[in-house]
Amino acid sequence: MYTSERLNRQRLLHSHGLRLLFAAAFTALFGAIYERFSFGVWSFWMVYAFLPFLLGGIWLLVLPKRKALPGELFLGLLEPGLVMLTLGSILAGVVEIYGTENRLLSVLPIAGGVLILASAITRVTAARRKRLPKNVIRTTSNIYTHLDYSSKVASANAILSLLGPTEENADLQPEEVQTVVPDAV
Amino acid sequence: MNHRRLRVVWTAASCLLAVLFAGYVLLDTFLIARVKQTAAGSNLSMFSSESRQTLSFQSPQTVQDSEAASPLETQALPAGTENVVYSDENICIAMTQYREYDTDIYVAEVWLSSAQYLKTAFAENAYGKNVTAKTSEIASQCEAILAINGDYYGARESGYVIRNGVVYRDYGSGSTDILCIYADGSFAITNSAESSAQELVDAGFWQAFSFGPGLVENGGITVDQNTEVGKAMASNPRTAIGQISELHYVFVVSDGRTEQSEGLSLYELAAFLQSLGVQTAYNLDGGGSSTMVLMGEVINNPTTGGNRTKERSVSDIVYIGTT
Repeated sequence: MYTSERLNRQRLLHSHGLRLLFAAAFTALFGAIYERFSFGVWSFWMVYAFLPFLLGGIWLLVLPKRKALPGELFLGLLEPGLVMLTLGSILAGVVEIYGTENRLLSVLPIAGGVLILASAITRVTAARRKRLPKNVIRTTSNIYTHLDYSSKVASANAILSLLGPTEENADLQPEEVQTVVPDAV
Repeated sequence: MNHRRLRVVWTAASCLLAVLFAGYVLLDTFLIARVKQTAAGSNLSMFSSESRQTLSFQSPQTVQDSEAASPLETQALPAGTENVVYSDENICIAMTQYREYDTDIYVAEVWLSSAQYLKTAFAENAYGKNVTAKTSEIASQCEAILAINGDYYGARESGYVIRNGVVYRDYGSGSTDILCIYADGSFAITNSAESSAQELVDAGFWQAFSFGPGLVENGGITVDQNTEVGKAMASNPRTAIGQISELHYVFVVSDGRTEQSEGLSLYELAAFLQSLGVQTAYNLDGGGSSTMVLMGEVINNPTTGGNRTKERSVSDIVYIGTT
């Protein structure tokens, strides 16, 4: 990754991290006000609804210091996931404080959890790619898979013509190397 | 479209979708009314004419004048005779207001000749979700003499609903205490894990409420100082129903959340019921729902929306009536 691209991505993650921390503060304030007017009836879901944004924000602020920076896909999965988790938590709090139930309450937390898990997978994949860089993979694949057998034979013949006959290849002349495909291949 | 723009569009679309879905869940929870079944009337086959006791209650004035009542009559008559507000050949109701724990508590003591006069009714005469009406409105529709709010079954997705001998919801809610009222008028507190709703009806259950917890059993308090309904605060308006003896009940409603009346904890409510001589008592829906209606008049101060005195709409009521 070029330095300028890396800097851009770091800035992007940093700004999104700060945005999530701001959203966490807003959610915490909302939860506190809602609890204030709930006449003493309280809910864990409402009180801790700010946690997904807070943890997500901290994650995004820590990530730019790492070697491997996640891409757009990571952010595109993480942020909607955090929004769904937070909304689901607030919704569960409202319903619990009122003293009622709804079977649909589990939909948003599950959807949010799946998106966050997917973003975590893209993050892990990016980190692995960083450990085995792209140029190493390309070189290796060129060496082991992209050389065809005929070019190997041509190289061998060229070498033979330059070195001349030796004890080992006394019976061989240039252009006479057998083009037998090895069994292992 | 480059990756960044694609991400922005996707994030905006998915967040909007989540907000819309949350809005739908709120509407589904609080507003969208769904009638699942029209109330099926009462299963009066549970009651035989022989099971009905013959109670000849006297008018309040007669009661006050009577000093030479027979032991049987004395047993049948209310203890606070001067507070009798209604009596006929099958029903007698005495009202008393108490001031305990800085709270106004309204107690209706009820004597019946048969449990068939201890009835329940649904809002709009229909079983469903978000089908609600004020306690006083439901009481008026079924010509209730005395009514209190019920267990607000519509606020929950599970918990047995057996009303007037008919099963409306046959899936329980784990370990929630159920108040069962037998056709002979006796109270029992059981658990949904122990038997199915139909088994309860077959066993002679006339009413079943799923709210709780049970407050008093066999004359002893069954809650501790920390017991609470969900995450509610310690002091609240409360509604409870209890049995003192055969066909002799108390309906209790307390005010709360106001400067005039603090409200009761479940333990205080249980202790108060125990002091009335109750053998079995059960907590019904409280908070803003707590309402008592006597002959068409709301006699407590319901506090919907906090400390605003306003009657809340509920799913169902428990009432005393002849129709």
